[in-house]
Amino acid sequence: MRIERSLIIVALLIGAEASAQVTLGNGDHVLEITGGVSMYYNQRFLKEGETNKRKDRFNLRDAQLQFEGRYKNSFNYELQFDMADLAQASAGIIDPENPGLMDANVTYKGIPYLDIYTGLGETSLRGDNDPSGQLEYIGRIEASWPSRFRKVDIDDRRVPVPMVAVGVNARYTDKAQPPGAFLPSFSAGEYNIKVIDGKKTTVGGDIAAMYKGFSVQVEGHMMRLEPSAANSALFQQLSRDQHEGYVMAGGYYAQANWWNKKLRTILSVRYEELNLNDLATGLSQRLGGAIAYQVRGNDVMIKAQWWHILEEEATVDPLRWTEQARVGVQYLFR
Amino acid sequence: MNVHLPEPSDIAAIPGTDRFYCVSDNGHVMEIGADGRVIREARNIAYDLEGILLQGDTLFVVDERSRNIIWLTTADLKPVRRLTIPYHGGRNRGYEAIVWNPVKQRYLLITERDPVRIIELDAQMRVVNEVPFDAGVRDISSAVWHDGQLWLLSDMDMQVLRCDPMSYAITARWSVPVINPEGMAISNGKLHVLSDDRQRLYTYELPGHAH
Repeated sequence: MRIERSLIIVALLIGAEASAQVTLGNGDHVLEITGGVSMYYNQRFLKEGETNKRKDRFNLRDAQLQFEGRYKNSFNYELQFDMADLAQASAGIIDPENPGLMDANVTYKGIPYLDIYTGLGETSLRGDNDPSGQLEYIGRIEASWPSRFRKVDIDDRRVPVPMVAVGVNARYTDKAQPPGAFLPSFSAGEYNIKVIDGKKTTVGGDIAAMYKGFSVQVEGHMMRLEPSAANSALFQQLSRDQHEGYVMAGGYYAQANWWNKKLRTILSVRYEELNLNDLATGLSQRLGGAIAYQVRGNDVMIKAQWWHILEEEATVDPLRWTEQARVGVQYLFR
Repeated sequence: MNVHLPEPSDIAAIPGTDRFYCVSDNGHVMEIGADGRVIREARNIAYDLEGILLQGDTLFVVDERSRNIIWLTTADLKPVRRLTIPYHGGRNRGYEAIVWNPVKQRYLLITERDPVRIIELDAQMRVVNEVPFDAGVRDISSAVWHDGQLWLLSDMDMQVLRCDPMSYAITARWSVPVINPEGMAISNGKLHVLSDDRQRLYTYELPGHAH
């Protein structure tokens, strides 16, 4: 019954008009309403002996609505939320990485060369700061050649000359907690390194290029974690002489894409390598491939994706599966 | 030729000269010389100007975001009239081009994409017809009238299209290897294509011997 219902929804989406975006305006004030829905069926191939198949399922990935407004050239505002995540949160399952409220901000653009921005929807920035009261400092520099680089993965214009963009970034925070204080449990993130009680310094770089339908992206980050507690789990129970008071973590991905206009098809391959903790043995390495068929441009697409685990960092991120296949549909009204 | 104007989005050739009027995504209107330098300018006329038409002593410019058509006098580049033509498609997928079709005696206001529509207005700027334009291009970024035909430019597909003035059926098409071609003009037997991202004006021999 559930399969039938999902197939009916997929069929309806494929047949739907893509030009469903709506703009209201009175000349000075313009409000645009956009959004998107995507869903998929996921199938995991488990390791021998694993029996829990809970990830083999249909899932509503996104059900987003976005209100974006502009008043003259002074104010921009945005309110974006995902009803799939809100429904999950209302059932008591709060995912700090994907809060239902995605964006809620106002930007004042009345001062030349300076944008003033307020209001973020991320869960981590709602309410109070953590007991350390410290902020995170972030910087990024980027350049592109021979012109402005559109921030898209796929070269769906088949640019006639090679285009390249390069960026470097750095982040620093010291969230050492005062005596008796602790970070919220969800702040550690999936791999216990998102926010730590201590110092975190991250440097990263990325490069993107495109030419005649081909495009590549490579991005890498390396972080130095200095936990305050001598017995931090990040130290993997090693002695001070062995860990020297810090842990390195990081990784990179490389992705290549090809867009064929005539076939309305995008092919992508991606390699990811992560070292989630240099004090733990092993690396996480995975290889993925994907194909997307454009029913109506990027707004309505059918996608299939496959992941193969080459190696896993079993002590930090043990996996129950070796392969994953996913088939989905995306419908954007914008 | 480099154009000394950030984010230029369309141009109109000034007959009998090698100069152009130019509009930008920042709402500015400028006159530029043969070397691409700004001769005179009118700043902040609107918010996001995407189309321009020169007719006699009047410049018509189109604001994509507010859906405004603005009349300016060429003498001083001052706005003398504004009119809103409502369109409820995407904010950044609104009017990209304006052109006068003398065969039909109509102004044509053309939406960028999703969908591309040719909106026909009479000489008093009243909407009289809407024509879906489904010609195998994903968008339209500029339009000019030349030699009894409608010429259209597609940014995403980097093509110049020549269309029948009555039916808008395509009679010829050419590729233009230009990044982000947003503006087009025809003058002195040349086709000029304006790149927004590169702030450059490329000049070609007019294709199809349509001088």
